[in-house]
Amino acid sequence: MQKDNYAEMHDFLVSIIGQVPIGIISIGIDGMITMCNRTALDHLYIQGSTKSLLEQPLLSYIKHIPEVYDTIKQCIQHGRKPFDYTDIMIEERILSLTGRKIMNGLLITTNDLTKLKHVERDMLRSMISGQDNERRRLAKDIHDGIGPLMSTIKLSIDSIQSQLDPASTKTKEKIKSISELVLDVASDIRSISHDLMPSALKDFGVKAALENFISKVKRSDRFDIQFFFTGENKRTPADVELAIYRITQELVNNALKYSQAKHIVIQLIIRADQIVITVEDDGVGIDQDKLMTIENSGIGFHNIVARTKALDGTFEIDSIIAKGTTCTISIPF
Amino acid sequence: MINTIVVDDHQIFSDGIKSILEQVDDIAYMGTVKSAQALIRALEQTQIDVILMDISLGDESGLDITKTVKSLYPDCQVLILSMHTEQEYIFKALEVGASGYILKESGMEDMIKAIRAVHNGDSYYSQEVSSIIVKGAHKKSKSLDHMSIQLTPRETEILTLIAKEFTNAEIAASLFISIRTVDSHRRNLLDKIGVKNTVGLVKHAIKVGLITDL
Repeated sequence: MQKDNYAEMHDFLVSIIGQVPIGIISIGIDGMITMCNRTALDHLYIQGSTKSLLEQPLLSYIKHIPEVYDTIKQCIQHGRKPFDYTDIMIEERILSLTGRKIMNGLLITTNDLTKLKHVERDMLRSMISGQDNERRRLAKDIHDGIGPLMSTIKLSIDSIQSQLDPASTKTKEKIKSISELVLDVASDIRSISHDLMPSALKDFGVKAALENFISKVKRSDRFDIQFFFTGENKRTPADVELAIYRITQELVNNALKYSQAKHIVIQLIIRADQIVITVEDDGVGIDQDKLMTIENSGIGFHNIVARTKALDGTFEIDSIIAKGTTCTISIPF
Repeated sequence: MINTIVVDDHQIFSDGIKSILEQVDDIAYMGTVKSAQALIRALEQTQIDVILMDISLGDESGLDITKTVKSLYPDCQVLILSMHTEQEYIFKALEVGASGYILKESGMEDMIKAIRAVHNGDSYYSQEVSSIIVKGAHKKSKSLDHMSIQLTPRETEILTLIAKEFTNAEIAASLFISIRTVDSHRRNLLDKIGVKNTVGLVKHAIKVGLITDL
């Protein structure tokens, strides 16, 4: 009677874990699989059926996921400790994975975040492209609308001035000062339009646009900025070029504002299928605590992270207090 | 008489030019066109001496049009009239055969001087444009001097340590950076120097004199 009850409970449990939408694997203290469901095997790309894997060593099935392999091996050899992974990439799949101590063993659960991550990426992408399109439109309106108007006003003023009686010096003086004001406004308008969307980026690519940006910063600041370029100066997709341009701009502005650096080195690398930008400074560095919450920190990394994520790129930051900061962004194309 | 035609898609601005040019005795305003096609048609029908060319023309580029025109009508002079001050535009304009480059806001006097100059076969640039050309030419000749591989200071440091047989971990520790960063520098070095492995890196380090003793 007792035995039947146990078997019934076991079957009941197996049928439950067979139906839950998360992956479940439990192992004994010896590392042998005591129970698992189909979902877990699918998530982790493990061959075999849930039955055939019972009493098999889990470690020999997860060698293709080195970080998880190491952690579980550690648990088996040196005692169980809970663990959490949020972004495990296995082939095309993005998983979260947890390990928890249970009676006589360890419970591993997996969750497929691929769809969620893609939705998140697509949302970022559309948000960013919406913003960029709006800026592009504004820049165009200014460039095509107000710009030529200002030039025309300048021409008209010049024309009036040339027709004035040479004796009317006072009026001439006044018109001259208006003409100078118009020149100032025209130049302001040009720089606003340029900040919104630099036309050199579209017409000549990211290297030229960055060189322009850097030569402007050099002119106005006391920092020593060096720019290096490696690879083939070819055009890459417009959204990648814009992302790299904006990210570099932000990194350099961050460095100028916060780092107290004396030297900044910017390197742009265009490879066959990848574009990489590194920005190094020899400034004060960023606190580890702040680095941990980098996405929420006020140092302006938020946009960089968003732009990188939206294009499936990677963002690494390496900072040592009083030694400096190196940021590396790579974006595939 | 200098016959001029304007290539610009901003009606107001070309009206402005028209009213200016009509006041000048030795310059004739022959009209405004907004596309390459319309310009070619005009050039077939009318004798034009100077074209006042905008760069950003909707989908077309005034620089491309300049190239085409110069190949068909080499005696026709092109004067670029643009809002762009980036040196790429200016150098491209020189490259495709424009004889002058002035900014749209530089005004009447500059424009008239420029038209007369390019018609005489001279070049003409607004003051701002000339200073950009000088700066850019300086930069270009400088970069030609450095056709050899250019390493960043950090890369040079790392290459030196690699040549001294430091491991990635040792390099990371001595430069206070993470192993990952050392790794990506190493990859950049391999790329830049164009070698496949550490032996290649060390050879290069010796060649450029980063280390002397072996």
